[in-house]
Amino acid sequence: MDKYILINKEAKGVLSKDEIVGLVGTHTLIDYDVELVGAIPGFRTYLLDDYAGTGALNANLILSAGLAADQPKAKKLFLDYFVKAFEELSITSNSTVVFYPPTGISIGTVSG
Amino acid sequence: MNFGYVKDTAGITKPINLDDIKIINVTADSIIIRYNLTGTSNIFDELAFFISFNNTGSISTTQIESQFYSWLQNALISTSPLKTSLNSAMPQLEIVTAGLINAAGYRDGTFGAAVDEAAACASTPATNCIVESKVGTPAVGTLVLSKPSATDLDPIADGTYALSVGGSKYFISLKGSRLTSIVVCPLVLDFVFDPNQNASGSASAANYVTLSTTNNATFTNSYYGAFAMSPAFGSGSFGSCSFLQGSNDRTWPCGYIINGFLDAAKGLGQLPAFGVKLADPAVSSYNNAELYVSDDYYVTGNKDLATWVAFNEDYWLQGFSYFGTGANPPAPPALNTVYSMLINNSIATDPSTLAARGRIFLPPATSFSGGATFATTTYLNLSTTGILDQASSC
Repeated sequence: MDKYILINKEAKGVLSKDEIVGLVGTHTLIDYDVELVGAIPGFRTYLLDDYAGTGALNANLILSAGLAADQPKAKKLFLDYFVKAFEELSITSNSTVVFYPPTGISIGTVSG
Repeated sequence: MNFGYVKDTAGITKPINLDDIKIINVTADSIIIRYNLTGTSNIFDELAFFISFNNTGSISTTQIESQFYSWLQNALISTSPLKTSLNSAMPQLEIVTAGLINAAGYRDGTFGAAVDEAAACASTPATNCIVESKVGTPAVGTLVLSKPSATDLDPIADGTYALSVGGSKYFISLKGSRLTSIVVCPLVLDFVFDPNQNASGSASAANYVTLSTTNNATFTNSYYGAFAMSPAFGSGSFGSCSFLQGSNDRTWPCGYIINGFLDAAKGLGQLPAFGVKLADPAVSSYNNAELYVSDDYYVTGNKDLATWVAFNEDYWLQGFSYFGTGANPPAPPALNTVYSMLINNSIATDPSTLAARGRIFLPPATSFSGGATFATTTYLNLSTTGILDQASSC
């Protein structure tokens, strides 16, 4: 059974209701990372059949002023939250969990 | 859905997909989980989950392999993140990084052991490495791995080192192959050449620093709206020594200056200045020298007060777009960056080939220290790293 992490646009409590802007399927997921290469940090996923270059999903991260000044901190914070969603998905019988980015990070343009 | 988990020395936990594994390679300092059967001698841009570690417990490769497969067996039948932690199963290993190695996220550099800042800044680090950073000074926490070959990466032992990357040198401390501190070495230039010392229509031999490319139109129409000079050499040819300082000199900026096409109204007086740091200040050779550029040298004419950056692809992507003040874009036409001038315009579709496509002419000079002298004009190849090579005398 495929399981999915649904990506909410904002941190928990920011929006009156969830706004899902993308998903990450776990069945063929090999890796993911927050890339600090460009001007805008990007959350990227790498799949069994789409692992080269910029990867499969590419979500721009919009940082608060405080986190923009410390992007390595923002990266760790985001990935810490994401792996929690991952762990939650691995122990639940549900097929999906919703991932909320940490406070101070919003999901911008999603492509892939 | 079968996943294990691994935490690296940055404190980031990643899941490891335990389905569809094709091959597992275990070495003394890495575990590579491969999900396809191609590229099995490489890890860069391959479908290979690379786990690099310091073997702090000095356990054998056989023991690493045994512990890994034991962990794998348990992880496949457990969903508990605690039970599926590779770190817990292999406490003798300090795992420095885990994940696919995407070459686009790294820069090549060199490193070498150094006891302090003075030693680091005076040294020429020679051991190849990669730095998980693309632009500017790497941040604390950045991963640095030794690169003993084109297909392998190794963790670096805890300690202090000299690091050279992106045309700058640093004194760094590493723990778990990650930066715990980084100090920028002061830049010690051996030469400064300032094209602003040339008057329109009149050359200053000591500051005749100028660029040429194989494309006739590269600088002609794209910089400062300069007058379109007639071609002096055919398409695909570099500027030749014999054309320098003559009416057919189409190099930028001095060829334009000498011919009166680049005057104060078009930026003369605020042009970037160039600096050169020799590989060895005591040796009169430009080979492997580092080329720097300053957009604000003209303000004071003092190299120690000016801001210098490596004349490499990072600068090309953003530099040379405006006058030195950064607030006075010439028009028309809209300015191109150095990158677009050197890479685009059908000169080269691949930035890696630029080495054979761009050339700089440096005038005769004696270094500030007096240890190196060049009696004649020299031309050299530009490169994406800012390192000059293939020096030839005019």
